[in-house]
Amino acid sequence: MAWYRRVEIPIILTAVFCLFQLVPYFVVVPAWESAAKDFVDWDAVMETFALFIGFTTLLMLHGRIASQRRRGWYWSAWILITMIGYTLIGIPIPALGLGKGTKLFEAIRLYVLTPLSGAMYASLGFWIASAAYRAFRARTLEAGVLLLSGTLVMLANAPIGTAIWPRLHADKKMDLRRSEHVDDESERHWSSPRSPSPRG
Amino acid sequence: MAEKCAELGTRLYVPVRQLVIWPIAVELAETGYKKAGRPEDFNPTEQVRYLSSDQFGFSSNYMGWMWRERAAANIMVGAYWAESLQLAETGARIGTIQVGGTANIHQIPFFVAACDYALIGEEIFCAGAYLSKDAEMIGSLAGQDMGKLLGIVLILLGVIFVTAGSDILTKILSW
Repeated sequence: MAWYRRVEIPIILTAVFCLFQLVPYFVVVPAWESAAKDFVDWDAVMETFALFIGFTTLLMLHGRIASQRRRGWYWSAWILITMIGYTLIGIPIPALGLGKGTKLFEAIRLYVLTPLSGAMYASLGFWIASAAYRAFRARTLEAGVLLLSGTLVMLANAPIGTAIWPRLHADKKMDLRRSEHVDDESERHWSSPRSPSPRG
Repeated sequence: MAEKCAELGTRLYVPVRQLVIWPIAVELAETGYKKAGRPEDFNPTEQVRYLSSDQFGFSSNYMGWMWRERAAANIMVGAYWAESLQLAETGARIGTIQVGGTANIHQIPFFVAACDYALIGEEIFCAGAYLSKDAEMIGSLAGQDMGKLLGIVLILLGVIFVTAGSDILTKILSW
């Protein structure tokens, strides 16, 4: 086997670079921290190039499914249309009104992608109800106590709990739309009234 | 898992969310098929799919794919956030055997409630070693335990020194 195809090489590289990132958390060496940050920047560049791999694999896969009219080919056709369309809209050609930050690009992001994400996140409530109905059974005393305490915690965090009993309320207030680290990009995203809560 | 699926003639699907992982996933799955002596059964583009880097783009694609293929087993081990329950519940509706494991403590309850078998926290690292009895993997677990022991010792020493009013340990770690 050629030396560059040996399994040990990626394992060693992974171990070295992981340690390189991990040690600055425990040992303060400014030069080391700077080098670790540079590696993170390199990773960002690698991920950008990896986008081409993802684009190509999606084109190959869904193009084949759609062209062969296999089961569910219309979904593949839709993926191709949206993927290629949004990619073309994102190409930076200001003269044509294309590119990141342009009206069309932002309109799709704010009025299509963000509400879709919000809808998916909101559907979690139904998934939780379905899982709870199936899984929550008070078969033992301990399970019953856990169920009761969980019910009280949920009521305390919902307005209906305070409406039922005014003294039942959570002490802390959570602002689900803000996080401590806000930059311009996320500020524009979260300032939209349609933005969903942060992923959790 | 790829090797076992290849041996049994079961179709393996690997959804990928991070693009840099896709070539690694292909390599791992292909190696499994080659070890089982069935490299011709492996189709990297069809079986190892990059779905989406977006959280809910990934989960919606995953759910649709699982539903269409009527997956018999769903193994979810790794980093999961809100999509954990969506994926687990979809599998439950299909009647899939599910194994879920994550180190994200906020999602563990969902896996425990919705999956047939749940791996909590560090168990996800132990499961592979325990099942395969591979000496290297067991050795890596022992090494991790040594690291944890070192961390515990440092914490205890730090507590003692700081309580005694000494910052020598801080200085040593900040040279």
